Amino acid sequence: MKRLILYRLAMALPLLILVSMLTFVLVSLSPGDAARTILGSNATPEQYAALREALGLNDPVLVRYWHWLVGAFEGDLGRSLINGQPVLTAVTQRLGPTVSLVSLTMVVTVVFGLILGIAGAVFGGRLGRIVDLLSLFGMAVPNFVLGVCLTAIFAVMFRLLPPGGYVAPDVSLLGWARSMILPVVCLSFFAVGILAQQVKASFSDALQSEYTFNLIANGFSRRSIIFKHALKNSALPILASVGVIFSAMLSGTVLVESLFYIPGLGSLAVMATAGSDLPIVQGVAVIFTLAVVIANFLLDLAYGALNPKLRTAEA
Amino acid sequence: MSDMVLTHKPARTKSTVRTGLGLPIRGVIALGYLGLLALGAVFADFIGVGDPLRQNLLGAKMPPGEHFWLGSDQLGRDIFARLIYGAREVMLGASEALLIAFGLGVTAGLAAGYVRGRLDSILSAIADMLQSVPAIAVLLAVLAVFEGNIHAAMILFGVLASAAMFRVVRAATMSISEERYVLAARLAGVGTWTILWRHLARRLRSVLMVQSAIVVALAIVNQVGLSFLGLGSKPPAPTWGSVLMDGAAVLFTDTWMIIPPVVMISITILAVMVVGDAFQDAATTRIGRGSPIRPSVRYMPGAGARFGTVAISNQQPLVEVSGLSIGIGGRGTPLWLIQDVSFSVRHGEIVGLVGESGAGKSVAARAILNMFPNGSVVEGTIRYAGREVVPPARGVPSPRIGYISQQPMAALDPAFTIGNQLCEAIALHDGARRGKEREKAMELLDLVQIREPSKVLELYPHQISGGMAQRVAIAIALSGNPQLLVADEPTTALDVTVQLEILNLLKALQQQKGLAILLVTHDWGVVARMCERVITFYAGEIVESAGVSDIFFDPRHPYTRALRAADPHGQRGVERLPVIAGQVPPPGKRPSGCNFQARCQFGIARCALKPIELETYGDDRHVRCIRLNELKVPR
Repeated sequence: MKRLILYRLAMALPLLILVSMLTFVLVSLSPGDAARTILGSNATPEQYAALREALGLNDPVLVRYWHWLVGAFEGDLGRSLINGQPVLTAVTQRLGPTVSLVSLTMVVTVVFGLILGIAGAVFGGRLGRIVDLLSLFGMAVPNFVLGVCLTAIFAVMFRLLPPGGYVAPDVSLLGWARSMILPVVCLSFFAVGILAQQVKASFSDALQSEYTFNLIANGFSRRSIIFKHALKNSALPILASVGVIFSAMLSGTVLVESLFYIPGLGSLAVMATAGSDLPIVQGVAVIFTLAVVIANFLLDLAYGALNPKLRTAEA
Repeated sequence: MSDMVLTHKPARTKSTVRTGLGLPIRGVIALGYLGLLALGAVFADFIGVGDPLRQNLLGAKMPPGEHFWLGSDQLGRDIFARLIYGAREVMLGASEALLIAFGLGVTAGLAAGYVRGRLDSILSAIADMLQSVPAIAVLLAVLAVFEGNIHAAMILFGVLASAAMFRVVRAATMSISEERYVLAARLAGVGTWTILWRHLARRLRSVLMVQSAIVVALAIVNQVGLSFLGLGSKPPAPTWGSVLMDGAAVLFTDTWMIIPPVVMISITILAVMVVGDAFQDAATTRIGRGSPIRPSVRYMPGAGARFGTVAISNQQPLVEVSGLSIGIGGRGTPLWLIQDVSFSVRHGEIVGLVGESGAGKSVAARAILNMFPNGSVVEGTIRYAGREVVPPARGVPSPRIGYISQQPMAALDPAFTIGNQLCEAIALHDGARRGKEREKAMELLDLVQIREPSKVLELYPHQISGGMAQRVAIAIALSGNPQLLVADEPTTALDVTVQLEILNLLKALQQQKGLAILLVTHDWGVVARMCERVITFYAGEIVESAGVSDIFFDPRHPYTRALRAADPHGQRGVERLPVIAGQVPPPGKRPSGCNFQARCQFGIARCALKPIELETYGDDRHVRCIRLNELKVPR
């Protein structure tokens, strides 16, 4: 258990460095730079050269990366090339909608993934087939395609839901809920299918095991076998797949937020990409990676708590 | 040397109905669609698809019809042509991603799986890292620099996706290089790579197809998604994403315009997934209804015994199985696992069920617990303690019967402590004594002769030995104070000394608590030590039932005789141990007449004519042999 946590920690740092370095090298390749942005187009070449020198833009890439890294640890992720806004400010301003979207989607995914997966494993037959089909269609109909279709149906044809936009929950709770329905459905469709299939597979394994047979034979209740014994035994593969789904979901916000005009991190990254504003893209990439690292770390702690073999091996 | 290796070819896996290409039909259809799309895209210039770029503002937003198969967009461009030409970029991008993922993943996977050691840990760590990268964030960074260059993004996607490919190949290589034929070749220093490659190629084929399909599908999703955001090839280049975007832009006025791209995108990804899925081993797909915890079982009322129930004793027995037949398979004739099984167990008696594996003794024993394989057809009845339990009465809780199995370690839930499981079992049967479960648990562990019960209660199954696990399993089985314990080869998996302890424990429980035990075994030593009566199974039927001394000293059925002769216990000197030639006929391949006729040294033509009845012989004995009275030769 300790080893697992140490491994994750040892892994997190190179991962963050890898992603930031990759994006940083890309930044250094891009034509625009901070000096040009700050000065605007009317500055003389002398002014430009002086500011470049002052900003350290003439240093080698690695030196500049080091400066960036030191700054990043102090919370300074650079400035936007478009409007000079600090990246950290731009990112934190747009954190709220993304957190709303991702956390709601996670809840929906886990609830429906568990229900469908367990039902598929317990009842088998046709219901089990439906779970397989759902995960197949979740893959085949990407979130933005589903988003366009659902907007056509619920916003255009029946006018039940807004076609886009975001209402903060402290402004109007109802408005927030209405603005979240379609994005959450789109973002969770794929994830529910994948999770349900994983849950179904792990549950089927657990239900076919020798100990389940023994529990049934000795008269344990079906409810306890499903929701206590099988659930805990299949928790590890389910958690692993939740980790993968979380990472995929962050990627999904990029499309879903753009489609539904949600002012979150994903749409910020898209706008920045379109404007070649690399510090912002880099900032979002680092924040997303950090989120994945933290999520994996929490999942590892959960592994330890759920797996007696890992926990007892500590002694 | 190479001969030895060649003979170790693994058996071909069974599969469902397949077409000439070795694929299920859906796979062929999906492959056909993808092939057609590819041909159309490649030869679009020559087959009159139309110009994807030609604008015609007079013919803008025309619904599908004679002018435009799939309609025209805001600028009057042919949507069908744009989709077909757009398929070029989709396929090119997906191929780039696949090529990179395949090349990197397979090479690294083979290397890590074969060389292992440090190389493996480094490569695995890199794969871990790649899998944690949120793909699209990095793709966006690439697109921000290489403006609109979707190919750069797809190549990077291939690098990220190689991690999953790596894992699959690594695992397969590891498991194969551990197999004996490879180890043997390795030791002999002969062509390891050739052998490894040959077996690996076969094993990996389906796995790689599935993984490749996923990589291609995700590559399409990402690529179309990026061009949908306007970050791919610049307009007016025809891309699927831009066609969808164009449709979405006029969603409120011309809703139909999203349908062609939506259908095209979804069908294509679906086809890719179906092709991958079709290559997956068909044996893994389960057919039929039911599940392990809700098996579908059909009880056939009134079917009963073929020859009428055999009354074994005038005393009311604890268990009475009459005319029990269990088959698998729905419509038509079921595949009979056991047929016409009737026997009984008296209060406090130990009865042995013996026979070779596959004879049906476990199936019969489990039937008493009302546990049948999924998809069973069940005929006959079982009464327990004067009540009918098979077919089960609705709304009546099942009676308490204890069960212990062959694999004590696997029989305990690994995720919960011994105390947790035992207490749950106690609470289940003893609802009134809530809060006192722990006390009772200690008593039970004491009963099964476990020292330091309070310490054992805190342990997990993986922390105790096999013998102790079997004692715990017995304690759980006894938690409901049952009158009967069904023990399915309870000592087979244990060390010899531990076997003896467990047998002594069971015997002690029978004597102290008056517990009846139905003991499934194939060990004559266990039978001799434990049982009062023995029931011999052969090919799904009872062939003989008798008191233990009769079975040992005067077996009547030719099979029991042969079985006794083949028993290594009691063999003296160096004479060769006789074996029974031939094999047990499996369900569905059983002959008409006597099942043992082909292997029987007394077999005659009459044995094959019709099913043989179980006949009463002497006092409280039954034998299924038509030559029973002719064969009364002293041994």
